[in-house]
Amino acid sequence: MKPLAGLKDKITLVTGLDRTFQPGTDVHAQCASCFLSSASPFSLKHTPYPQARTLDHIIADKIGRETPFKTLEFSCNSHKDNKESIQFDNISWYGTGACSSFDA
Amino acid sequence: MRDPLLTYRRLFKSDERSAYKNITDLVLDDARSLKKELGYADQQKFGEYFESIRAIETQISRLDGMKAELSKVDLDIPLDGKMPRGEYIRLMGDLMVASLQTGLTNVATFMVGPERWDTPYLFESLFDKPKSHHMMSHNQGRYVDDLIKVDYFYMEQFAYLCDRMNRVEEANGKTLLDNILFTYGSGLGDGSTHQYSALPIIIAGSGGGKFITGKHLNVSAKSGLVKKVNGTYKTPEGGVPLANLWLTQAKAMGLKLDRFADSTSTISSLLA
Repeated sequence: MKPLAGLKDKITLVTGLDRTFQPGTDVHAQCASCFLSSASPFSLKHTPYPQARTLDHIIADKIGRETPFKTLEFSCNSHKDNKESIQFDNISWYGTGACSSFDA
Repeated sequence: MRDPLLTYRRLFKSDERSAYKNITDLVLDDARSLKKELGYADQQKFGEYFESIRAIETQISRLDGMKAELSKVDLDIPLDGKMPRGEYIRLMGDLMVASLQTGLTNVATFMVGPERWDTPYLFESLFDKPKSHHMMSHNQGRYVDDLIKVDYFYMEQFAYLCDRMNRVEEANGKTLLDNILFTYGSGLGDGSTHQYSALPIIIAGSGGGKFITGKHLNVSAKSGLVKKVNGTYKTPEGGVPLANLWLTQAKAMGLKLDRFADSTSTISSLLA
């Protein structure tokens, strides 16, 4: 937290928050892909991932209607030889199984 | 978007946009003449396609309308190629801040690193050679000192971006940071046990005065790290769902929602 010392009046640390891992996928794969997910664990029948349209897109549906871009998705993955599935590499999803990051 | 140069061109360079515009003009012209020759069902289907091209056109004309504003953005043209970690994160972050500042978008996500094993990165201020974060978080006994350094390094990048936003003054006399919610966190509480509990979350900014700041809120006494008891990992009883935070933020942004994912309520102690 030390690097934030100069801005401590403008930040809040929140602890005590949990998520539920849904068995059936690799243990890493729900870390990022379901972080902002609007799906409850065990609510989707056709996929082992509790992963649906993410918070950014749901909020942008409301407050992103007038801007040139509804949302922007940035990523700092410089690897070109991505070995793992898309679940490892995307936090922003239009819907179940549809990530919204593309290489621009 | 992960390539800084392409991102820069897409967001801030107008000649790139004119190229797009020429393409959408051509496509729309073709589409118009083709549409006349189609049957009803095909016309409906074609309409959707037509709309998607129209959406690109609308986006480009909005961008064109902001040309004057965008030309004032003071950003160096990003260099191509592999950059040291901090430089890369700060550069992509600068592009995000500039996008929010100019009003290109109101919403953005920023993924610092992929969930990937074997990810040697050059943490330029820390080590001489590229090192793998994944390896460190899995072997904390051996690499805990390195891991602490890397955690600190990432926090420095977050602080840099908060500071950048805090220097941008907005029309209401507050800073960009004051006016947004900039949430930093991870989907795992501990990388070695892959636990989805005890998540570290920081919120910077107050969403235009809607959220409290300057505090540490522990929202649950039940949450905690997964412990090994008699050789098996015991998940703690269960803290407050992360979705409660997302519900709180979404409602503060004006959405009419009763639930978000597995949320049980909003976190009212976060609200000003």
